[in-house]
Amino acid sequence: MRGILSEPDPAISRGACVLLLSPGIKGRVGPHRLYLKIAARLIPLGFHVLRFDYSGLGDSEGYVDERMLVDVYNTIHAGRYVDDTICAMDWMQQEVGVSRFIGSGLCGGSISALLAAKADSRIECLLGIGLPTVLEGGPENWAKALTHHQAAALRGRYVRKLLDPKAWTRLVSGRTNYEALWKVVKKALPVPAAPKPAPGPSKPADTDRTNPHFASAFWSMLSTGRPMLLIFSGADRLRYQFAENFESHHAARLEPFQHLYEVHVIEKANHVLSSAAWVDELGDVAGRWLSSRYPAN
Amino acid sequence: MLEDYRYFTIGDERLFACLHRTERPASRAVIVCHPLGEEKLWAHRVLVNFSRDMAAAGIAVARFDFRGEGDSDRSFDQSDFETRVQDTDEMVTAVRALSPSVSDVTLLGLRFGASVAATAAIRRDDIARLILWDPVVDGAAYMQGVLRLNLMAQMALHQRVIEGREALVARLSAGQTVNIEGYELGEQLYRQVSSFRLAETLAQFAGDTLLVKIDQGESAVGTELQSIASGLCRCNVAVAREEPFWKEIKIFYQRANALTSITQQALGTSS
Repeated sequence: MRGILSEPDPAISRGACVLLLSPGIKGRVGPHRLYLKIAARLIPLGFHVLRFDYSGLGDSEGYVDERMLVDVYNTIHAGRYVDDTICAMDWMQQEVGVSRFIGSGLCGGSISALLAAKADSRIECLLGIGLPTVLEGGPENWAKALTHHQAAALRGRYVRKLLDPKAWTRLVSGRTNYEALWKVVKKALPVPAAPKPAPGPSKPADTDRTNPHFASAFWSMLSTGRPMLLIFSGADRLRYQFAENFESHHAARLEPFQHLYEVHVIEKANHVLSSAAWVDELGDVAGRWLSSRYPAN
Repeated sequence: MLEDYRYFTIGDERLFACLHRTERPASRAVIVCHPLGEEKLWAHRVLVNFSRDMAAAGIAVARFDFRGEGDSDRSFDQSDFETRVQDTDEMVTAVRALSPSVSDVTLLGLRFGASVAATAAIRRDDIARLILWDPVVDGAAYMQGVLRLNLMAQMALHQRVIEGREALVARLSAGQTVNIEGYELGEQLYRQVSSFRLAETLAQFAGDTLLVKIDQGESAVGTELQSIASGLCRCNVAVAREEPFWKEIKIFYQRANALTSITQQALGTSS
């Protein structure tokens, strides 16, 4: 595996390393160099930052057997890169002498950090950015994980399609995602006048739709007293998926652990935090949270 | 694998690069110019595997990140077309210095990277060959497509376009930036790329050129590229059946075998 380690000034080092784990297949740089921007915020605070490419991705060696991207994503959600993450921590411990880690990353990097934390207690806390709670993509998985907010947003689109002959052709030719259509209708009825989704208390999902690996890793973090800061983008479905598919569904069980996990929502932000203001907010929130947990020497 | 990851310096800034070395001293080298922004990320693994295949075939390859992208220094908004051409020039010089056995240098570019490669090539007299994968033919049209990404982002955020193309260009002219998928596009890059015309640039190049049209079999021949090649000496066109791996597509594209094969043929190393 190949990566880049950025080290803080030894005089201010907090002796802990933030692992910025690869989001999906985009490697150690992240979309629009997001990981460099995050690293630039955390290194002056005294944190080591390690960005590396998983096996078969980026500049690393190896090969990914899956042909379809969605299958790659789902194997990531199932822990594909847990061993690589542990390997990176071993390297840090042996070569740099740092053995305290903060698992972090965007989306797939975030779930990799959570799953690695279950397997390795050297990950002391989780800085999750857009932590996915359900399996990724594919018409079947997508429809299964459809949240109330997504259904509300889609309802207007489906209503407009009633007037589109092409949509009717798709419907009768079997190319429509019937499960998604049914869920939209089922979840969204009765239809209010304004279909635009509004932020507010999330409704629990009918059944637990989370990635089967997610909950046990999440409980593992909480039951071992390891804190989590979960940063979500306001315009990202992942925010609602976490709230509806996990948080609301397990509200009672989560209650005793409220002090261990925080959720911060960057309003209006998209999944990859493409605006500089959103990245600044991420940097501010993450920097404060980490600094409070790792006092300066 | 003989791969040397390192930073090169240009002024007081760093260029991140990977040199794919060959087992025996290579007489030929390929320097790869990557596409712009997110296209670079999606295409990355194809370029890595291509470089490894070429090195295994005895051709040294240098991949590098333009300043403002990847792991190189400088913020994106402070980089432009000219800095990318300078970076490419620097890499050619560095490869020649590090590999004295190399006598034949090819510049290879994908999409926007092809524009950079072509422009860098005409400013030197030691580039033997240009291999341009799905090159940008008309920089102005390309930049309109780039601006369209901002419009799409506005639609996603506001359900409507608040600033149209003209307003975005006006913003650039006023010295502000336009956000393109998280990259802050500056006026210099916009203007410089907009003035790029592949045919005009290639007309100034004395070496061999291979233009490779990438498509999925929908069009018979790259007619636009054929038109350019017909007006030039030592310029050929090939068609590679590949998916547009520089975009987010359903397939995880790790190798572009048709492109690699065509490129190896052009370099005389096909197996």
